[in-house]
Amino acid sequence: MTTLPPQVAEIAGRYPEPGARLVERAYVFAAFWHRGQTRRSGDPYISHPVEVGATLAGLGLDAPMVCAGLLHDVGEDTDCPPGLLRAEFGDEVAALVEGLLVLERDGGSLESAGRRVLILKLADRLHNMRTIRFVPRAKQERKSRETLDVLVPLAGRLGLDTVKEQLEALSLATLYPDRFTIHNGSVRGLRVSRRVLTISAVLLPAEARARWLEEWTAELHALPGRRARARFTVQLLAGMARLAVVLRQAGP
Amino acid sequence: MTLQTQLVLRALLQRPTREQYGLELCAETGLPSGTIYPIVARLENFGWLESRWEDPNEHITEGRPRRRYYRLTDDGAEQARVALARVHRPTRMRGFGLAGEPA
Repeated sequence: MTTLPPQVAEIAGRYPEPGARLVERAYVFAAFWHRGQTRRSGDPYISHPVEVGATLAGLGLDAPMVCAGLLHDVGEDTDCPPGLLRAEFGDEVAALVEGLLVLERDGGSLESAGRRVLILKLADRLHNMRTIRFVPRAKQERKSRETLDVLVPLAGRLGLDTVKEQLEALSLATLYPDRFTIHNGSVRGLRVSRRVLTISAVLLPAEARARWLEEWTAELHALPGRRARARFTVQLLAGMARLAVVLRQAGP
Repeated sequence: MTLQTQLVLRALLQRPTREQYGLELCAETGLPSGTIYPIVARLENFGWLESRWEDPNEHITEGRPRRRYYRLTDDGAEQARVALARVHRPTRMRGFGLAGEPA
């Protein structure tokens, strides 16, 4: 048998047989069908499913889930004949991969997808966000916003706190590169949140600014930690124009 | 009335006489800060809510900036109950609201 990359051998080694063999076969199968393909980063395409599989293994999921991670793009972006994946890896793995495809074609009907398909989706998005610097700026922004609006809350609902935090940090750092940087995988507010708010409060009627800034200063003070303050601030910025409209409707 | 506004009114009506600050409303409704403040500002415009600065004795003792507290006015509480009762609540929102309200 061909030698496996160390990362794949390490993942497979976490599972007792027959899980380990299933994971190895999934890698060999995916590497074959993705042969010659590259990511935007220039890396071989197979690097992406391997990272997704590694994430799933790191979350403690079982071998069929890791296989689904390794195989998740085979059905869509390759010449692999329909039905072959199911014949080789069985109904459980095939159903997970198909579930992810359906989710993407529907434009995200998250309510109808099962928990395991949703976790697969999150692991896929996590690696895509880690490599998002290679895609065009407009797509970076669209994906980051979708991640913040839909996938971060989803990860929270599923109890995947580490995934949630990483997705949030990566999205914020992409959308607001001058305000946030990634440091050891988490968001750092580079400038004090209050300064950011002061600048954008220019939208508010002049006579109302001081009141709202003072109110938010107290809220920022009450929030535990830099990340919570960054989130509060970013959300406020998103609602600033609406608040400005409401305040201008106020009577004297 | 938007679903978000309904959530805020329900949170306030749970203890109509209690004062709450913005972060508490974020936590109770699950809504982001940027959604909460425009809603409370609008409710204040309508006279349904009133707000005041925290008593200096409290925040100075605790060594933090003063909070802005919101409370339903008597009239606002009454109007909010009527308005919520009129709203047809979609099925998936069931369980969010008050007991005895028409589904």
